[in-house]
Amino acid sequence: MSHHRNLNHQAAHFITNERGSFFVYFGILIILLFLSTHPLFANTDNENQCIACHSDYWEEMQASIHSRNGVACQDCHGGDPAQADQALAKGPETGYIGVPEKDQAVQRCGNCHANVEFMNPYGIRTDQLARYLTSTHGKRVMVDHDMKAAACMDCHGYHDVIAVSDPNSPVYPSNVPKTCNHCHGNERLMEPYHHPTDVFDQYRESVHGKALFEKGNLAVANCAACHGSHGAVPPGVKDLGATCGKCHVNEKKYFLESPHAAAMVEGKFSECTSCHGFHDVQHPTAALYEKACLNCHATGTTEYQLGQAIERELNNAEQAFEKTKGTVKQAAIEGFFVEEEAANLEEVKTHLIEIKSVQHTLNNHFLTERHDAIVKSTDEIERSIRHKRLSHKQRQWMLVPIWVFIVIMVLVLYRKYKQLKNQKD
Amino acid sequence: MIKRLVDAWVRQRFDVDKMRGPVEKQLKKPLPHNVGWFHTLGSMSLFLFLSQVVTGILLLVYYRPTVNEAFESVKFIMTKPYMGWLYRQVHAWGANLMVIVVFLHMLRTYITGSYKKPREVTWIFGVFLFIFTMIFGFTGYLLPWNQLAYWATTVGTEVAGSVPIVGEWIRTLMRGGPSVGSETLSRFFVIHVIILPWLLVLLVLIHLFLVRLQGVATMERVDEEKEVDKAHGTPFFPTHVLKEGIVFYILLGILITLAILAPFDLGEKADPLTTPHAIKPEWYFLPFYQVLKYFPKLAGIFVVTLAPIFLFLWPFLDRNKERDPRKRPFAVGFCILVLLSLFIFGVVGYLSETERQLFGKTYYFDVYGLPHAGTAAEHMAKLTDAEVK
Amino acid sequence: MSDMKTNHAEQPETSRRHFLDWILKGGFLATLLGMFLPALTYLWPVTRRGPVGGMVEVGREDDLAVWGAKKISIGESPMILLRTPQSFKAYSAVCTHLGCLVEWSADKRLIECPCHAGFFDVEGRVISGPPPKSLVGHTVRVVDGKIFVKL
Repeated sequence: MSHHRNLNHQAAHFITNERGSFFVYFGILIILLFLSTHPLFANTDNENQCIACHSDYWEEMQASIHSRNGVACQDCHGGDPAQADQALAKGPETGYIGVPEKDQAVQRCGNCHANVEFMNPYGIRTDQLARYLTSTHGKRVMVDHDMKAAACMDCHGYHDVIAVSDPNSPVYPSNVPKTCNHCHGNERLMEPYHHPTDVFDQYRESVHGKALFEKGNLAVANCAACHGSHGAVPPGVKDLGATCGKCHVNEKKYFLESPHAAAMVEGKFSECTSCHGFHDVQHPTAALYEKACLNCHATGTTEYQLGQAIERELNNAEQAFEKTKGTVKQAAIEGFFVEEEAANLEEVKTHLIEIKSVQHTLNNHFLTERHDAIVKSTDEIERSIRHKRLSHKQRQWMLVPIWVFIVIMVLVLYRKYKQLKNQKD
Repeated sequence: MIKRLVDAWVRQRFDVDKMRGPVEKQLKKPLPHNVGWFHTLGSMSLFLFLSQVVTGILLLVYYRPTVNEAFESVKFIMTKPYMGWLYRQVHAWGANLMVIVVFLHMLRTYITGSYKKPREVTWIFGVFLFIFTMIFGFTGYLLPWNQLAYWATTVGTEVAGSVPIVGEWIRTLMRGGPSVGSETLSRFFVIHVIILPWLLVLLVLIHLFLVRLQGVATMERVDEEKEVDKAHGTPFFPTHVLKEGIVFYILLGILITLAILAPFDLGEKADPLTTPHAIKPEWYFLPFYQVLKYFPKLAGIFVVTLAPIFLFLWPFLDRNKERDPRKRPFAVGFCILVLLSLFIFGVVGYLSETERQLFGKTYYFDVYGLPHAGTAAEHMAKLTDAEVK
Repeated sequence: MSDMKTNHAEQPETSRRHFLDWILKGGFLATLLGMFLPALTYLWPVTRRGPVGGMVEVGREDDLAVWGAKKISIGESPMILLRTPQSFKAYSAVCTHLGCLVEWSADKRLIECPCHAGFFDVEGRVISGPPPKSLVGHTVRVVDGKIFVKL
């Protein structure tokens, strides 16, 4: 009994003296500080109370380009971010819409991104919404209310939108095909629209796909480059030339001089894809003349013969170049000085690449000109190297007087040697 | 007239007569009867060494020992300066011929039992000369900095690195880094152009001095050699020298002929990122390289180092007092065995990892030298992953 | 009488020996000369420059107009040399797309590739078209009115 009393007495004594008071106040301070960091009581940078409960979305948003530019929850979802109480934060006057429907969301994005004045300081274009409304995706979502079609966040992401130039962005050039494939590779999703779902595989094996994925060439055509990004539509037959011709300028230019150009205008011929295909475009070789022409022209026709003649010339030029390249390389390995020939070969290479563009005119005359130039150059290079080899061979003639001299010396020395030996004996 | 004036001037300043004696003695030194045509091989080794020094100095004028310029400078030498190509080819062929001639000289010494007492030390110096000649070849081979050079050096230093305990250290020291590069080129250049030439000059002088001091060996038994006197011996000058002159001219002819008819390529500039198929070291290392393949690492190193060790110790292991090869069946037999195995393993090494046409059929020789019917591609396709490694 | 005979017999012998000696001496001299005379010619500087390593002279300042260009070849590398009002520029003429040799378009003041219409600005950067990377630049220096390019 007295033991308890003693303790109580000791405790009271502890608290009331100076040292004890210090510890008490200090302890209260610690507790308060701890409580202040609890999300329930914590104040964020922009005093956003949403993340008190929705902290997982805040994590997603933190690295996004929106949050870095002061765009927060309420700009898309509505609601009052200053309210800690859920009912107040999401009350009717706050404009809270929760998770928006797709067409709603499109409008919300457009509120900023289509506003020229607003977007001015950020330097991004503002025609995305306008283009989207003309696109197949846009028409489906906004007009048909088909929410399965793609809208802004399907490609750009929801809370974690980052800049297009960031390699992690789903719309970074090398990621575009995969992003499109999310839907366009899904059989169940594509079935009602009767869209093919093997486009990604085709693209991956194509020359563009290989350049993009294997060589990392970002300038090459991806889905958006031909179909448009926000204004995505499958290009019509007449528009294909414009699409391919964006990069393949010379081929388009020459094609327009060819007899096929008229056919294209009449809609009978698709400018590039009739011969080259589209999603599965391969690196074309002269062998294409065997297959592609037969689609419309029977063997034996003048047109077909022309194609064959062009193919022969192309092959001939290619072979001449390869042969001479080998000759120059072998000469260099052996130690001949062939820098001039190698420089000329570079020019031939340029002609060879040019001839591949020019062939789209399907005009044998133009082709023959360049073919003859190539053959003439390669012949000159071969001749020059042959000449150098010949002068090397002439060195062999040096051996004749040398050996004559050696034989004489050996004979004389031997004679002398014999003399001395005989003398001694 | 001028000759007499010069003679008088020199005589007033130098005791010509005092010098004349020893010089004449050396020149007219009588050589034993057994000294024949094969005894010119030593002088031919010296001639080839001098040829290498002279052509080497000429090449040095235009050669640049840096990774960026080495290949281009060799290309320059081969195409621009007058006869540049000739000096490069003579130097390259001279190196190969020097290895052969030094080897033949060593063989002759072995066959005539000249290494036996009292000339063991001369033999030791000779073995050193042979080894340093091969190192000359190894270091010089890298200098053109073409694909062959780069990769053969990579393989060679790799083999050196497989020696137990000190291997890695040796390899890093040789390469001047983790892989063959500019440091390797620098140090190989220093070794090839300054260290080895002076070393060889010193060793050759000592070797020649010893030969002169002890006289050329006769064919008599050990401890029973009789000194050769003037009446019974052939004078060095002019008789033996004439023989050497004949062999010299023929060797010079062969050297120039090889330089013109079978010139070495410039090759392709060294590319550390592209390994050519089946790299092999130079021919004089091939037998050892091939033998190494048949043994696990340590055993292989042991077997291969037996060769130089045997060479050094041979005069001390050989107790037979006879010099005449006809009276040394074991020694000669052993020699033939060694020559045969060098030849066989050399050929096998040459054939390994190549595709050849024999009697109308194609065969691919694998890394051990075993032939398989079919082409290289077919053989590669049949290999399992483990075998490929 | 016998003296005369031996003398007579000796004469052709000694003269033949002298003849042989004469050939030998001449031969040795010829060998030595044959080895060392070519070496002298070898050592004489053969071109204005030795093995290509540093800056190479490609022309004179006055030969190139402002906003003009010149195609040059250094070793095996084709290059294009430009002159802007401020400086000289040199780039590898190999287009980074498929390797065609580029050309200077004076009216557009751009470097263009005739094969697929790739365009580069005067700094060698890609402006439009398929080339993935800028043209490789080379340092240019002008000394005493002579233009030097570094390989």
